[in-house]
Amino acid sequence: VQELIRQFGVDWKLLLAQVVNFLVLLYLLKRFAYGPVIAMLHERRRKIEEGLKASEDAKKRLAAAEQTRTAIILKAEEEAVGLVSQAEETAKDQAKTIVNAAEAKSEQVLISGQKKLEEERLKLEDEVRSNAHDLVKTALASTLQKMNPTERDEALIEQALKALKTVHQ
Amino acid sequence: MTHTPKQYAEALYQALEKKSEVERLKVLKRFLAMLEKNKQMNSLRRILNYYERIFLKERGLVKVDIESASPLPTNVRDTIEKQLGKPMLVSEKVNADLLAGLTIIIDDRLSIDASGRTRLTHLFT
Repeated sequence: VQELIRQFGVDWKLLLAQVVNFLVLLYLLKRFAYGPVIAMLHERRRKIEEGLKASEDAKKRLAAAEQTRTAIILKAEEEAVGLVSQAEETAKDQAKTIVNAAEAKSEQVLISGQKKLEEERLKLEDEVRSNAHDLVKTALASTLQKMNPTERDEALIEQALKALKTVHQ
Repeated sequence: MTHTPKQYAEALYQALEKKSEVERLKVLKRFLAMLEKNKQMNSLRRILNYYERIFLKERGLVKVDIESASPLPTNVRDTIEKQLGKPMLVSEKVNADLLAGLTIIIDDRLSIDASGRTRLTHLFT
């Protein structure tokens, strides 16, 4: 083996020195170059992973928010439709109430008007009757005053005397 | 002590009975003074009404108030007296507002209304 090694030109001292050099270089590289670079790479990787994860989370949150938004919109739409239909119902009810009240009022006004009209008619009839009575009374009184007193009073005097006789008996 | 109008009227009648005209005037003056003193002047009308009733009753007279639309024939008064069967103290009055006929009131209580005014009123009621 020694012969073979010699044939290859291996110088054990040189080899050892080269190994030591290599190890020193390896140590230095690892200590000042590979370590920080790898740490930096790890850090970057971690950051990228965190960024990706954050992005994923953001996407998920966005999706959730979108879902929530959609749900809220749907709910709002449903509520809006409900409110509108409720408002329509309320408006219909109110309209019906107003119409009924207006009908009742107009009916009342009509009845009141008819009653007032009837009262006016009766009042007018009374006035006409009263006036007619007054006229007839005035005419009769005038006629009585123009009559001959003896002829006019004869029957009444006779009636009075007859009444006196009846009462006094 | 206060007295009723009827008691005053009875006392006045007795005080005025069988008195001369001069004495009656004196009695009346004293009577009015007494009423004034007793603060009974506001009862004078009622006292006189009672007095009139006592006066008519004591003399057997009937008070008759006749109101007619025109002056009455004389025989009407005689007929009334005959029907009442007693002498009357008559008060006659003509009131054209009666329009026709007459009203007779006896002793301020019994009333007979045979007037045209009342007939007309009844005609329209």
